[in-house]
Amino acid sequence: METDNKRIIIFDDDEDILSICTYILQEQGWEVLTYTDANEVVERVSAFLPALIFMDN
Amino acid sequence: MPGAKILYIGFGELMNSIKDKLSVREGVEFREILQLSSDVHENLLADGDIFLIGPYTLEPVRQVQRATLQNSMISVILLIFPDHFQKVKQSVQFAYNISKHVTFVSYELGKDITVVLDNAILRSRQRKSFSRIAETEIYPKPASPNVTYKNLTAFLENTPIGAIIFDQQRNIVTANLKAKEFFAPKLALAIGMNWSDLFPDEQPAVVTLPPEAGREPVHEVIKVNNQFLEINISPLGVQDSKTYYLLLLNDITQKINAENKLQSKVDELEFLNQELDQFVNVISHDFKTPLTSIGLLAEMGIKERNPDKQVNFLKQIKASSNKLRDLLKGLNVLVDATKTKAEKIEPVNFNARFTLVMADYNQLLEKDGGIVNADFSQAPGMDYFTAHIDSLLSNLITNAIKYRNPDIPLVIEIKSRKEKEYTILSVKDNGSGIDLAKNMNKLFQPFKRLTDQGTGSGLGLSIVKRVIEKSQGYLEVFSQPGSGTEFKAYLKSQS
Repeated sequence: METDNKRIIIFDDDEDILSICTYILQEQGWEVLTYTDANEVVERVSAFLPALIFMDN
Repeated sequence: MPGAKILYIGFGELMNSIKDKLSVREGVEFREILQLSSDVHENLLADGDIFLIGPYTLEPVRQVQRATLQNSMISVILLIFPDHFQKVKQSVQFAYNISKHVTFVSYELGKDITVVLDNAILRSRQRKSFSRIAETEIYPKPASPNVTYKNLTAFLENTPIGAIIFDQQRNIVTANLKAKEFFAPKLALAIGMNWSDLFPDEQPAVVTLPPEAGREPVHEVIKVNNQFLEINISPLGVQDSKTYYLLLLNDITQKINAENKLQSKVDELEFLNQELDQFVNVISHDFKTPLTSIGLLAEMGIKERNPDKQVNFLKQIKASSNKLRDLLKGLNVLVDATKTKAEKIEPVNFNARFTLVMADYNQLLEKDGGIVNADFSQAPGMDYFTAHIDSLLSNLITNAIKYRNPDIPLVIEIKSRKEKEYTILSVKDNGSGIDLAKNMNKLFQPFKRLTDQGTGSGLGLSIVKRVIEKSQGYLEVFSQPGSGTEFKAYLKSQS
């Protein structure tokens, strides 16, 4: 993805999945925020301004 | 038997083409095809109905879930554009609360899907007839109008079905041995006796004779002396310029009893099957996540050169495998709680069980300042499984304590009362409450916890619900976020 914004938010109810995703993305130079609560995502998104939000249904 | 409905959600063009094709098809039962924009499930779906989801529908997973929740005895057909086929199919298959009767169709505009619909109609019909024993009965053919009663009398005397011949005034002309047996000892059949003496309790429709020879015979099932009798009335030929009527009586008590028994078994099996399906869905989803983690972590560990990081991966693998082990343990608890039908049924005194269960909580409640008020005066006890009452009380009290509102002192009200065939145990708290509109689906699923508040396996409510349902009861929940929760257990006395 050609962008200067290297921030990403991941939402999943499983902590393990979150930590694995974080690891992989951090290795690629992404700044990652993870949440298990959808409300928090909504609260944080305007301040963090991620390039991408990755949500589990 | 009314035909199955096809309920359609999606864009109009497809609906019209289906409607045209089906309406000219012979033997296809359909009452209506509805085109609805969003909320289809206003209690429209009945057993055996077909729910057709068009390719442009938003959130197909939710559509299927909501339809299934409303009635799991329906067939769902999901039309999906080829590009999205795998993705949508998988997301539906792995979702919760999905009916097992979902057909996925890769759909392109203009494709003829009547074959798919025909198959679904056929299957839903079979299911429907499974769920209700066929309502039609095969009745004996009407007697030939050329046969007269005099030459029938000798013939019928020793047949295993009852036979009575009436004249036009509905008086008995003759009756065979078997017919006499059906009415004995309450009534001794005799010549000249009137029809209405035989069936005093019956509806007028049954005692209406076919008006003249050659008309359609009458079929009914009636109850006499606790026997189910299938009766068939048909006109006989004219003799001495009078019309006579032949009434055949067949004892189908055993058949009806067997059907009822079979029906209740079928219902029970259907219920168990559904429960099992749902259970397997949930379990497989929950086991999949840590397994996926272990796989990914191992793969990353193999590629990683830095030994510190490798150790870190191994630690995470260990953590995931611990999680799997805990899940398995929880699964055993759940299966044990519902499979074994607790030791024995006995008179259970609610107050005694409550006092015993509370022993585990008194200290905790004293420390955090909470009170539990119990009032069992309306229904002090019942015949039930003691262990199940204990488990119900302790799980519901645990929940109330766990999900208390930290800003106010906890008050738990426990009450019992009787209502019809149920004894109701209710546990009400003033805790943080549950957003039921959002969480009803997850509330009773094993391993699901709705918030991060409190700890636990996420098994409590699922155990309570299963245990109650196992004994033909049910569990109700009333709650609003911020204003506490009330669980009402409708328990059926066991005998």
